[in-house]
This record gives sequence, structure tokens and C-alpha cells, in this order.
Amino acid sequence: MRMEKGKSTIIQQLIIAAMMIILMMGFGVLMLLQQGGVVDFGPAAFYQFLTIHGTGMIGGAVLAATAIMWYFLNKYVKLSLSVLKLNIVLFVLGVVMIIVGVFAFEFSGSWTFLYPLPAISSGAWGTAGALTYLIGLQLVGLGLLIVLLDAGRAIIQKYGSLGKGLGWDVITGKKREQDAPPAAVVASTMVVIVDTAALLSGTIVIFMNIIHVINPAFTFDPLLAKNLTFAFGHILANSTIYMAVIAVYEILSRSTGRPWKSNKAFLIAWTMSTLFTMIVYPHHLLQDTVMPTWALIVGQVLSFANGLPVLVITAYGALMIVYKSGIKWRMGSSLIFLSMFGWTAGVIPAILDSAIMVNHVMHNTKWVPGHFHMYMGLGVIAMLFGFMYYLVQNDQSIRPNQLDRFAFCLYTLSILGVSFSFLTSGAISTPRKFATHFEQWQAPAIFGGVSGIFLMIAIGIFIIYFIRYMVNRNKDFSVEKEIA
Amino acid sequence: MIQLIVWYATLLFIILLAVVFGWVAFSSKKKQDYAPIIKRWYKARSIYGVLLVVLMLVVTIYTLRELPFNEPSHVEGVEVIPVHVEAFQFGFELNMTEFSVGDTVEFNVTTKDVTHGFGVYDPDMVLVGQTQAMPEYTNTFYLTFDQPGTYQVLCLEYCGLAHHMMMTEMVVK
Amino acid sequence: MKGLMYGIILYIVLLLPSVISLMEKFIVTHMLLQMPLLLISGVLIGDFVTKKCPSFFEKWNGSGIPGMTLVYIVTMYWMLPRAMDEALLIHFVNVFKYVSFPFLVGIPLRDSWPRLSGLAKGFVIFNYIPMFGVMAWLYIDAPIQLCNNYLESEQKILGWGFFTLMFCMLFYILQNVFIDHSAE
Repeated sequence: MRMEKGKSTIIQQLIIAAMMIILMMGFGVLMLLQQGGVVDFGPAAFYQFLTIHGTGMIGGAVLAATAIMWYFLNKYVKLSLSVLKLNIVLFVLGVVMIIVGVFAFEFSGSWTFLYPLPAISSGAWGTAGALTYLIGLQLVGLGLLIVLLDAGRAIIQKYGSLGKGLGWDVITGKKREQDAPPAAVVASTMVVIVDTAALLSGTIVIFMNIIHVINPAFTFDPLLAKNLTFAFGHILANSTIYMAVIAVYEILSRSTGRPWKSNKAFLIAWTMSTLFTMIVYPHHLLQDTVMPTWALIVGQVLSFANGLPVLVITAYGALMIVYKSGIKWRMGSSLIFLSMFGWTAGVIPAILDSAIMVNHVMHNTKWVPGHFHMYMGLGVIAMLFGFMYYLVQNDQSIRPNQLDRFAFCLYTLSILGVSFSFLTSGAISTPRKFATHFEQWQAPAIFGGVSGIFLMIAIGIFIIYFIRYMVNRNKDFSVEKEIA
Repeated sequence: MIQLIVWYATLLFIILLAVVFGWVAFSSKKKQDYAPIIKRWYKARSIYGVLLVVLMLVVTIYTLRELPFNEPSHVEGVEVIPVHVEAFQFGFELNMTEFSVGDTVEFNVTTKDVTHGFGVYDPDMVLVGQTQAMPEYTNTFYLTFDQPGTYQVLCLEYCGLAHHMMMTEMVVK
Repeated sequence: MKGLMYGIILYIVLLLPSVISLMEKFIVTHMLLQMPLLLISGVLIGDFVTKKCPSFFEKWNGSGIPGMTLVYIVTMYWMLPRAMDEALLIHFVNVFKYVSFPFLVGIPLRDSWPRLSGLAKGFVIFNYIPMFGVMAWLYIDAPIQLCNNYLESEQKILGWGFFTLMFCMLFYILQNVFIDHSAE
């Protein structure tokens, strides 16, 4: 059996991402249990866990999502495999530096590294920790940058421009709907645009922090720093789902035998997403009343509007394509369908929190992690594993069994448990990022921690399936070689 | 109050979504041609889309009537008490910590070192207002104390290893 | 040949004492006029040199990446505010400036740029954009005098200069990715 070009790199990348994600879940469980008063590692360890959990989860999600995007985009345009491999190398190097920065040099500035915290730790960590962490993060960013540049180059080569990649010529009626670029290309173009913008602002703010850490006499405007930091963080985290959703388009249309064509509404929705994703980040700054009021109001209005493309186009499209399709549910398609529920469900607490009035009493509580644990945990992660199961489903003798189906149910319930424990905590005003909780806040944290343990079991079963697959495949290879 | 409304709204919408997704998954066993489905459900989508936009507009207008960082309209003629807050690693300095029920306070919040949060909790430990304490800037918001007792102030932006212990109190009589 | 001549003339003009004192009077002309002009003289000279001994460059700079790395390192060094001060105070650093820009930046840049793949070119540009952004921010926003030899108000002008540079590069990239290339 011949492998498609790049497929084994993709699978390696997915397994690295999956391993990272399950490891980071471990840190998440430890944090929740500490907040619940079950275990106690002390605040220093807690905030190191917090930093590594946030960074590692975003990193893992980005790596997995990049693999999904690359795999499908490569079917339509010519991408460079060596760039993808170089990305993995840079990623691993960066992650190693981040781990060293956090655990050896005790950097615990959280993954938002909000200026001027990296330089002013009140003795908790030194220059070395902050620098190792920030440079590590920059390396991960550089890896992503080359993948994006390569994707952008390939899209321009085939379609003429990024505007055409988004199908603007179809929207304006210059080209027929039948000739519109496929969904994978449209989504990739969007991601290339928004993530490059994110990386530009991220690089600026990371280098600014590096300068400030080396020489604290060079100070910068904290408000601009905050804007750039959240533009970077928000766009990057948000874009993972726009990369991973390509798997939804491709897998659902193949599994149901129905086409998922880009039409005008679809293209307009994606152009809206491109724009909104880049400019909704001020909803992270609704507490900063020194921001111009119009910017904050725009932050609220656009955050509402940003829900429309997914709620009206993508999720609706997923429902339509499945409806009375006679689909034969397999692990891949089930997880993918579930992921669309996770995405839409995760959007709801976010939209509500972006109302300034609500934000005023719910932001910086656990309501916010409640939102993104659902959005990422039941959205991106379901897409990741759905894609992995899909990728290998026709390949070999190992078939998903009862255990995998059990893991599917366990995963769904436990990630809902984690998310709802956060949402409940947020509804009773529990602050996020606290090493310890008052007694009345502990119960949901314990519930979340226990759900997290079950979640790890479910994810563990998913991962074991792929390790079995890889082992089998290697055996096949050596047998093939012997025969040859 | 707001928290409760938002909590139930979230629950309601998520359950609604679950029902829709469940129903579609259940109906997927049957097989029908796609073309008539597209025709029918595109029509439904226009209605659903318009409804959603209208709903969002209503909520937007409703929630933007009064913003916590503008002086509240009901205090016209009433004196607003300005309070200066300076946060530092790891505590708060308030130039005034005793108030009476019904007082409307204008919190002017800044910080000596890194970014902190300034979250006010009422005696039932419900978050009633917050802003960020940012270096070089002063953020302002208004709050009316409507309950006697001890209000807690917690730091709501991660600021270092003693972040969770950074708190102070205000007494409302 | 013409390029070489212009390059050498430009280089000599830049070395005239009166031109030097004029250029170094303000930080903005020092950094955003003298240094780029030195670089350009190197590019013009490089045009000739690379044609003269292609085998040398082919051997050491076949992919263009070694040359570009050199360019990167040297320009990074000259972005340090300290380097600007030292260029005025320490004779050796000053000499290094007149050597490094034409010969360690200009010539390698001339040789490397055409050799680089589209992806590598993009990568270089996308590294300089945030770098100039950081410089702009640093010089505009710094509450202290960054270079002992230049006033604070002058460093603000330099900051805006870097901002303009960044903005132009960004604009170039944007128009480049959004105009239609399908005819090519």
C-alpha cells in the first residue's frame, strides 16, 4: 500500500499535537484539583502549570490545525513538504525552549505575557526565564509563518491573488459560482491573511517585551502593547477553528456523497469572517475604559456579527448536508459532526460575554475559560481526532472497535463536564487564574477536575488507536521491503 | 442578576442546539435527494438568518443603553464620590474605603507596576463591577452600592505569584 | 561598469568629511539616509563584483541564504541604539560602519536576493516589517534618551521614519497579494 505524499508527516504532526494536548490536559486537571482544594502544589507551580497549559494547548491546536489545512489545501494547490517539515522542527525547538523557560527558569507570566509582567515578576522569575519563553514562542511563530507564506504563495500562483482565493470575483459576478474556489482554498486564504496579521503584531509585541526584559529602562505604551498582545492571541487562537473546519467541509461532503460547494453566501460569510476575526479583539479590552468608546462598542457589535457566518452558513450547512443523507456514521464523521455542535455551542457564551454590560461582571471569571474549553475542546479537538480517524479509516486492517465508540461517548460527556464546570464557576463569579479558591467556589472546580480525568482517558483511547496504527503500518512497510 | 440571566440564556441556547443537532443526526438514517432539501432549507435559512440578525440587533441596542464607564443617568443631581485606586504587587491603595448604601462611586483605577484587575464583589460575593489597572493610564467606572456590608476587592488580572491573595475590603453602611 | 562607477562615486561622496558631518548631525539622517545610501553604493558595486567572480559567489552563496543571513545579522546590529552612539564615539565602530554597509550588506544583498526563492523573500520581508515596527515603537515611545548624542525629540522623528518604512513595506505586500497575478 502506497502512502500519499506527505501523509506520514501529517500523521506524525497530528500525533505530536495529540500527545501535547493530552499532556496539557494533565496540567489542567492538576490546576482544577488544586483550586478545588484536593491537592496543593503551591502557587508557584500552579502558575507555571497555567503558563504551560495555555501555551501548550494553543501550540498543540495550531499544530494540529495546520496539519489539517495543509493536507486538504495540498489537494488543490502545490505546497512544499519541506516547509511543513521545517515547521515541525521549529515547533519542537520552540516548545522545548518554552518548557525550559517555564519549568527550569520558572517563568510563569501566563501565555498572555501581558506587558510589563515578563520583566516585573517581583522576584518570581528572572531575565533568563522570560527570554527563553519569549524566544521559544517566537520560534513557534516563525514555523507557522513559513507555512502560511508557502500557502499564500501557492494560492496566488493557482488563483491569481488572495482576493480571488476568497472568491471576490465570484461575489462581484465576474466569475460563475460553479468556478468558485473550493471551500478548503477559501478557508486557507482567510487563515493566511488573518494569521499573518496576528504573527506580525505578535512578533512586534514579543520583541518589545524582549527589549523591555533586557533593559527595563526602555518602557513602552502599555495600552498599545495590550492591543497588540490580544490581537495576536485572539486571532491565533480563533483561527485554529477556521483551519480545522476545512476537515468538516471535506469529510462531511465525502461521507454523505453530497457536494459542499462554495456559493455566494458562503464566500461572503468567509470574507466577513476574515475581516471580523482581525478586528473583534477589542472585546478583550472592554475593561479598559481609556480605550476610545467607539472601539469598545465596535468590539461588542462585531463580536455579535462574528457569530453570524458560523451560525448561519457553516453550522447550518453541516446540518443540511447530513439531514436525510443516509450517512453511515463512522468515528471520523461522528467526531466531525460533533465538532460543529461544539463550535456553535462554544460561540454562545462568548457572544453573551462580549456585551459590555455582561462583560463588566463576567469577564476575567471562569466564564471565559468555560467558553473556550467548549469552543476548542469540543470544537477544534473533535475536528482533530475526527480528521485522524478519517485519515486512516480506509487504510488498514485495524478498525475502530467498541472501545473507540465508548471513548467517543466518554469524550463528549467529559468535555461537556469540564466546560459546564467552568461556566457554572463563572456564573457564581469565580475569578479565573486563581491558585486557590474560597470554599464556596471549590465544588465546580473539583467536578471539572474529575471530568478532566475522564476526558484524558477518552483522549488516551483515541491516541492508543493511532499508535497501534503507526506500529502496524511500520510492520507493513518492513514486510513490503522484505518482499521487494 | 446579570449572571443568572446569562447563565440561563446560555443553557437554553445550548440545549436548543443539542436538540437540533440530535434531530438531524437521528434523521440522517433516511436517505433523500439533496436537491429538494437544498431548495427547502435555503428558504428556511433566509428566515432564520433574518431572525437571528434581528435578535442580535435588539440585544445590542438593549445592552448598549447604559455603559458602566459612563456616568449613570439616574444620579443626575446626586453627588458622585470619586475614589482613587492604585494597585501594586500585591495589594490596593484606596483613598476611601467607607461608604453608605446608595452612594454612587467613581473609581479611578491605575497601578504602580504591572497590569492588575480591580473587581468589586458585593457581600454575597457576586461580582458587581470591574476594570483594569493599567500602568500609565487611569481607567474609570461607576458603581452604586445598594447593599450594606463588606465589599471585597479582588485582583482580576494575573499579575504574579501572589495574584490570588491580592485583595482588600470596602465597608458599606 | 556604469554601476560600479556610480557606486564608487557615491561611496566617495559619502566619505567626504562635510557630507559625513551633515549626515550624522541628525539621528534620522544618520540611520535612514546615510546607512541606506552606503548600502546602495554596496549594491551598485556588487552588481559588478558578482559578475566579475561568479564562481566565488556560486560556491559560497548558492542558495542565497548565507548571504542573507549575513545581511540580517549586520543590519540587526545596526538597529541597536547603542551601535549608533558608538559609531560616533569609537573610531573603530565608525570605520566598521563604512565597511559593513557596502561590503557586508550591500554586496551580499545584491548577490542573494535574486537567488532566494519566493518563499524566502517573503520570509525576509516579514521579518523586517515587525523589526521596523519595534524600532518605530521604541524610538517614538521611549521616555528616555536612547542615544547620548541625539536629543529625545530627534529620536521621535526617527521613530516616525521607521513607522513610514514599515507602512510602505506593508502596503507593498498588501497590493502585491491582492492584485491579480493570473496572467503571469
